Amino acid sequence: MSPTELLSTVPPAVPILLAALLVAVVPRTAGYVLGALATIYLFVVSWAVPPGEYLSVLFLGFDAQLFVVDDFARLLGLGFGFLGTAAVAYSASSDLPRTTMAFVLSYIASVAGVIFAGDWLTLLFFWELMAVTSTLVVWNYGGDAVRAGYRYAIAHGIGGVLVLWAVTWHYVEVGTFFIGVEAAGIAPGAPALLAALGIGVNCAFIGLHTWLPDTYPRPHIAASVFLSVFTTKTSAYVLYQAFPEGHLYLAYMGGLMAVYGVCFALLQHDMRALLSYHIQAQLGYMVAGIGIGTAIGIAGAMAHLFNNILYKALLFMAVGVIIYRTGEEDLYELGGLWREMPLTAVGFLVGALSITAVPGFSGFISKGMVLDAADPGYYGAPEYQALYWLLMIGAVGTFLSFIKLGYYAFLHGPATTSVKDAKPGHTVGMFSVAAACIVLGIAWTTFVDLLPFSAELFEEGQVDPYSVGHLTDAAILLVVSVVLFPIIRKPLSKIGHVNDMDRVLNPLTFYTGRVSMLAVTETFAAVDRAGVALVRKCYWVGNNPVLAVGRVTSRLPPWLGGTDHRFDGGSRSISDRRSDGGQVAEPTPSRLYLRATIGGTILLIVLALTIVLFVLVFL
Amino acid sequence: KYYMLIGGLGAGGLGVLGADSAVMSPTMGVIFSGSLIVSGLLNIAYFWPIVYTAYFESENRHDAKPLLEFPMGGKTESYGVSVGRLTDGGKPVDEDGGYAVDQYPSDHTTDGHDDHDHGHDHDDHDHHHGGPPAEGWERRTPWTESTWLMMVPIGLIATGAVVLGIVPGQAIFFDLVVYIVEEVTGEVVP
Repeated sequence: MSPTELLSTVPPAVPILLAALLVAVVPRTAGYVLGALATIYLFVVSWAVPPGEYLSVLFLGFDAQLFVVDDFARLLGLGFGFLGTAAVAYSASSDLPRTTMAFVLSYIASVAGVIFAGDWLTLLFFWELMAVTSTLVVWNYGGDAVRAGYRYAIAHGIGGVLVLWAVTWHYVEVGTFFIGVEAAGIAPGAPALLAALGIGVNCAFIGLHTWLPDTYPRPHIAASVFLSVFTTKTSAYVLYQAFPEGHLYLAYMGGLMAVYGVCFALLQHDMRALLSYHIQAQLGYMVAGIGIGTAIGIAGAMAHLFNNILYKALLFMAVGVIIYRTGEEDLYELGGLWREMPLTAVGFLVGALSITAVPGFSGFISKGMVLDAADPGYYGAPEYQALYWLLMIGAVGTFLSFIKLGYYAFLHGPATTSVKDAKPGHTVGMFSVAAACIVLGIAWTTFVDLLPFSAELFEEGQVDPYSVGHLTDAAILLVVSVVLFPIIRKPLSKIGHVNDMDRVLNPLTFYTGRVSMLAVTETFAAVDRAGVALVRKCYWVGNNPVLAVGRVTSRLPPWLGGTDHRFDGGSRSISDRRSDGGQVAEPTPSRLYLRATIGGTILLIVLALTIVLFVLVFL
Repeated sequence: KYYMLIGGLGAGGLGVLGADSAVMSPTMGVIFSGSLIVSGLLNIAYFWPIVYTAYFESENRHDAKPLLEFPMGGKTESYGVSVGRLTDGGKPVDEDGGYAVDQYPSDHTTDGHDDHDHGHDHDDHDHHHGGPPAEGWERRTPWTESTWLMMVPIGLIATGAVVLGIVPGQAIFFDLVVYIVEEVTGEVVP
């Protein structure tokens, strides 16, 4: 058995899950080494195992493929494996508790399960597991993170059940769970709509995104690094699997997300909240590329996804070090830190230059591909002209918000406190990722080679990032932003907290839950009361048959029940006096006189027989 | 639930699965599967607060959950304090140290309960009102968490649930279900 065959028998999720279990019990250093080894395994498998389908088994009672390698899964596996190792090194220096690390590794294991899944059922299984494990990562920090984690869980629960519905409906429509068999992506119609909404929660579509800036700024700084990477990027890939041919609406949702995300990012004071809104904005580019659905669009989206794994984690790492050293989350309370923390400043600078797509850094290549896919001047269809401008506005907003973040954290005024720089683990984590950002930006042909559809792209010469036109565009963006920032800086700093949609959506979810729960319980209580009352009545009738008959007969019309009886009544009391001479307090019948006329008796008997007959014949 | 979801939609005559097994209208099929979907979501809404209260909130920072009662965002005190009752329906300790149930024995119907309450009283001498003790819960290792007479059955059932969930084809129980369905309806379970 060759080494590659050996690798292909063990899906990456298994060793990572084992590492997760061990981290919780072995000494801290050993646990972190194990965690790093497990993520390295993910990288090696993605690198070495050739495309193909491995491990076709019976899973959950259905035929399933637990381990399918293709260009897409390889790309994601390489990114996640590399970043995972760097982030484990970072966490080792960040005092991340062992239990959190165990949850983080189980989270990475579920992500590995999603990206290598060959059928919707396996994908869904790990998708739900990803929601559970990431919630645990958040909860483990305690404090404010717990309640935010619960809101996160509800959001992902909604997304999860929608995807579940979509997947089962897809199965009913096409008769198989295998991805890409019988139907490209998810079956059209209701399953597609449900899938778009369900995956849209994880992809932070506008209106479904409130969990993102709510949750990611709250947990441990190292936990934020992991969270910022896995869920959203994995979901963008799943969105592609569901809609491999794209859709105009998806593309425009992406464009709007890019603009919406940067607008809110610009308004944030909390550094991690700012970065969180940028996750939404950057996902916008990916969703746009997937929505456009051409080879360059999809390849661009995947390239941007890969780069985003790296530079977004790098930015979270740099900001995490600032928080770790200063204990301050608010941007406006910081300043002049580049003298105190030059290593962190360099790490941040590389991340910022990558995300803003400055030539020479990785983001420039991938953002350029998505923009070209939308631009009718390059390879876009005419209906994507507006999308192109939305994405350009997003690009300017990205520049502005990272100039803002860098300016207030590292440049603005002298440092208020004297703090130490990054720890060794921080530095290793940040600089390895930063190096990758630069290498991918310069050796871009090697990078494009890794992408899906790369042969087609090279053949048609569609990727040429360092052409004069592209460099001019980048220069224009940079100049516009540098001119704009001083103008908006003062007014921007005066704006306090701006409410996002959660202001409306949270109460809406809350009161929908409360009202529907009250409605259900009250209905149930009413049914219960009615049932109990009926049973009580029956008991009473059983205990007091004479009284019961008396009450019924007293209500019968006189012609039916005879002549001489009302209640008090049903008993024919000769006098109102008791035998001992006392007054009868409440007349109760001691004897019952039931005298029906002969006609009435026959009528009653016939009625009863008719009912019996009716029941026998028709039921 | 997978099977019920698929069966519900298929019974509504949807897709290739419903082509020859429709027994109700598509709307009914959607309502059928939709109610399962909603129930899945409600499971998170109702049960997860139990998990995070038990394992992730700290003793000195937890709240009464705002599901049916309490304002949005919860109330930072124990449920027992907020509603003035213990979780078993009994009343909390009086100020003078006696149990309300001692003064009004009819509040408690079973002797067993009463014994339990007294035992509790002796365990922790301060009178906390339904919440965790002020000095925090006693920390125990997994091996000494409880008596094995409790842990073994719990562990067995939990393991069984996971096994039946992940490899139902290898567990006999599922074969039995498939057999019954085939015998009764003549339909072959996919």
